[in-house]
Amino acid sequence: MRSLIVEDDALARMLLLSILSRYGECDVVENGEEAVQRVSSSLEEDTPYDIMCLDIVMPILGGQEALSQIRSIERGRGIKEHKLLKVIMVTAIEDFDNIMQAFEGGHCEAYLAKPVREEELLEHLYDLELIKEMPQQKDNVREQR
Amino acid sequence: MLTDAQIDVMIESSAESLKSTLLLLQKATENSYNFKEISVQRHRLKGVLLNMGENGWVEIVRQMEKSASKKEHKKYSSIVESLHVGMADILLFGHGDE
Repeated sequence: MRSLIVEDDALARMLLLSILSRYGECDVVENGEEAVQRVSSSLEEDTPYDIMCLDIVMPILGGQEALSQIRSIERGRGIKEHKLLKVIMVTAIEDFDNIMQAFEGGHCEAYLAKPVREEELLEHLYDLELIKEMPQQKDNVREQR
Repeated sequence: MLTDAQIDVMIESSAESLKSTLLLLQKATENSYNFKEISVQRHRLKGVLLNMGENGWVEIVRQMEKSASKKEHKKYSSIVESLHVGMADILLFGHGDE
C-alpha cells in the first residue's frame, strides 16, 4: 500500500506515519499545494498512491481545494471512478460542515476525526479493502522500564 | 506497545506542534487582529490538543471559538499565556538534558 499523508501538524503527521508506514511506502507533505504536486507526479510516473490522509485546514492550500484540484487532474487523465485515489479527510470531530462538503462533493471516501485513533484508521483501510484484516488491538502504553 | 523512544518522539512532536501553533496564534493577535489567521491557528491548536488528549484545553479553545463568533477577541493573549504555563512540561521537554 502506498500512502500520502498531508498534514501541517507535526504530531498528527507522526501519528499517521507510525501507523501507515507499517503497510508500505509512505510519503508526507505539509500542505495542499505539495499534495497536488505529489499526486500529479505519482500519476505521471505511473506509481499512484493507494490512499491519502488529507487534513482540511492547512496553510497555502487547504484540503478541500487540494482535493478538488486532484480530482480534476484525475478526470483530465481519464482515470476511471474505481481507480481514483482513495481519500480520508482528517479533521477535528465537530467540523461537520467541512466533512459534509467533502462527502457531498463526492471527493472523499471517509473521514478521520482528531484525535487520530489507530483502530479507526485501520477500520477505514479495511473497509476500503486496502488491508486484508484488522490487526489484533494493541495496548498502547509505555513499556515497563 | 510503544517503546520509550517512540513516546519521546511523540512528546517532541507534541512540543513542536504546540510551540509553532501558539507562536503563530500569538502573532495573529498582535497589532491589528488577523482574524483569518487566528481562525486557522485556533483550529490547528484544537487538533494538536485533541491528538495530545488534552481535552480540558480543547474545551478552552472551543470557548475561544464561541467568543470569536461574538467578536470578543481581547481574551486571546491571556489564553495563549495560560496555555504556555499549563503546557510548560511538554513545551520544555528535553531542555533539562541540555
